Amino acid sequence: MSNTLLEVKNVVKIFRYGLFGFEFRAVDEVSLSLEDKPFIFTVAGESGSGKTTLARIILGVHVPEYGEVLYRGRDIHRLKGEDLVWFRKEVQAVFQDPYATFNPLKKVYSYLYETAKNVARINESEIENHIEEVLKRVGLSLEKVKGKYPSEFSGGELQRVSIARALITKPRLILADEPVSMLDASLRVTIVNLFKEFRDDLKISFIYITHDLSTAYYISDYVAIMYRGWVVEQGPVDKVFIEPLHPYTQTLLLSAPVPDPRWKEKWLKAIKLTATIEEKEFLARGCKYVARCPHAMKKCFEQVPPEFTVNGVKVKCWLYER
Amino acid sequence: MAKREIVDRETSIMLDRVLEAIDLTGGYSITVNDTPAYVDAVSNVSFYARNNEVLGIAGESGCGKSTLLKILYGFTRAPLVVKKGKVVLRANEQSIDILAVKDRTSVWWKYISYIPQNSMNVLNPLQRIRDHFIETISTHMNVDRDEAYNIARDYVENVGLSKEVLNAYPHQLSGGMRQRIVIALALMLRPRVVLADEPTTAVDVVVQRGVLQMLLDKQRELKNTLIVVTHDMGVQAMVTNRILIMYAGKGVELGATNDTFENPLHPYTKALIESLPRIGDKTLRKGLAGHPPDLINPPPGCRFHPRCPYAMDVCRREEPPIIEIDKEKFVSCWLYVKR
Repeated sequence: MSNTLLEVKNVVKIFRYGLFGFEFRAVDEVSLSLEDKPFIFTVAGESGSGKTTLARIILGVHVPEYGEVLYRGRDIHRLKGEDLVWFRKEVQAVFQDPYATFNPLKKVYSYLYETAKNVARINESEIENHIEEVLKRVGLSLEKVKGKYPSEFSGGELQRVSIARALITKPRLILADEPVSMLDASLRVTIVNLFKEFRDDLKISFIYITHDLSTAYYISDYVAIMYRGWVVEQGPVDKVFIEPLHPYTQTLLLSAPVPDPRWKEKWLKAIKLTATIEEKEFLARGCKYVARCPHAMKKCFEQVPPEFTVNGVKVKCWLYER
Repeated sequence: MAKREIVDRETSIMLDRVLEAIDLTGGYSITVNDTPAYVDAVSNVSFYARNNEVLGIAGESGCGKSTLLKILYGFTRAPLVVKKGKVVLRANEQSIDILAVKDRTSVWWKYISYIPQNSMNVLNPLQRIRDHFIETISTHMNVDRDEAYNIARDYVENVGLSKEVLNAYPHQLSGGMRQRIVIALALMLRPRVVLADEPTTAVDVVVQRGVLQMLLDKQRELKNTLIVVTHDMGVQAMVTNRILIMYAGKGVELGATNDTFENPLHPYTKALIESLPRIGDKTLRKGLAGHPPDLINPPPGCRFHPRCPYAMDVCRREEPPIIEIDKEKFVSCWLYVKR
């Protein structure tokens, strides 16, 4: 157990809606196992693939219907009292929209102060020094932040404050849910470069949730691709992004525009797409990708594919059955 | 004789420039804390779009690219005001200044059409898709409802959508599908110029791929001009022939897309392109420090000088001129002024 930091075991999250309690599985039998060494693990997928729901389950916000999440061997959904404070200290979060993270009527500094006092439990006399230190880490300073309201910062600056806040508790793991999708392109790398730096210098691990494939490749060590609540492929980023196995991952990577006009011809030639009804995919009996898959076989319509391991990559597709 | 030929060549070059923006200046008249203020969103922007090309307008949020597009379309409602400049549209061997036309509905849809941002949400939720088409057709063509429906049905199939979508209400369709409907509507009357503002920002990559394909296919078929505004440099690289880079309300660089990516001239363009990570390349990328200026009080001189690593004295004092570096290659930066 000692060499796993986080283990997600067959987690299922069901949402119900409508008059008759129509059910659908936002996260469906997801398993991940993250080693206890500094890493950046990306969860990539399109909107509605369940990546944010998975993040909320890992943070303990949503309780899954089935399965469990073990952080250093302990089920995080059963933690109480002091143990919960310990978990909050160890695992921190950074969210998508920094203007929504902070209450616009509260000074930004109060968030840093409260985290230092209530979660990190730092002595009153040392709080300011500690906050100054974390702000320096993200390229800001105490005088730039103190006394200001969220609206007085630019989006990039406020996201840095949000990251500084997460650093206060000296976490082992930071879960960043779309931390750069609100920011301009030239600012994105300045933020993701921080993650790399903290992985290497502070030995903090990151779960980076994004739909932006180019920053995902740029910073991560491992990647999981989600589709309609499933993790369809997971493994080292160099394998998954360079030689994708699952037909969905292949389509996704071929569809992503490349900021390099030399790729234009190749991109223009990429496959044509068909439109299908999303609800049907969530309810499909076999593979959820079957309606769009160019390789669909009879078996794919009938049975859910298990995870096959090919060359260190786990792929949920019947094509790789041996 | 020789003189005549030169004149002819010049006219044909002019006719090729289907849409030309001359010295456009416009922005928003607003009140901040009870004092009137002016947001200088588009400042002295000049460029032209040629026939049968895809022109991209790129830049980061707040650089004025959407405002520029609204002015090009003549969609100027308060608080947006146009201070000066012309938008010359050349179609059917005539040329008109869109901003000087009183009744712009005479050019809209037929000669120039506009796909606004978040346009997947512009459809009327209480109307079936077919009524949107019939309304457009019967307003601009002299036909009755039944014939309009027939035209709509043929047209929808022609752009690769199933005719069943005509009977659906907007909420029954996915975002990508609605986006395609809006694009289909905008292109129906075969306009010479199509302005698309962030046409794929709200959709997923796979859907984005399909929407862009549709825009490109239609552009090739109609051989018209497509102007795409997007901050996504990946989309710019995949779709456009030429690209206009904007920064803080100014056009800073204009040139062929390939050239702009391979050999960016303006320091802002350089920084922007160098900041983009690519799949398959993990070398360290550097972002651009600082943030864009407040357009109520833009900095004097070059608006990029507070963030520019090459800033000189002159950059802080005087606005740089627009310099033609090469054929169809323009940059607005003091570094390229020979003195």
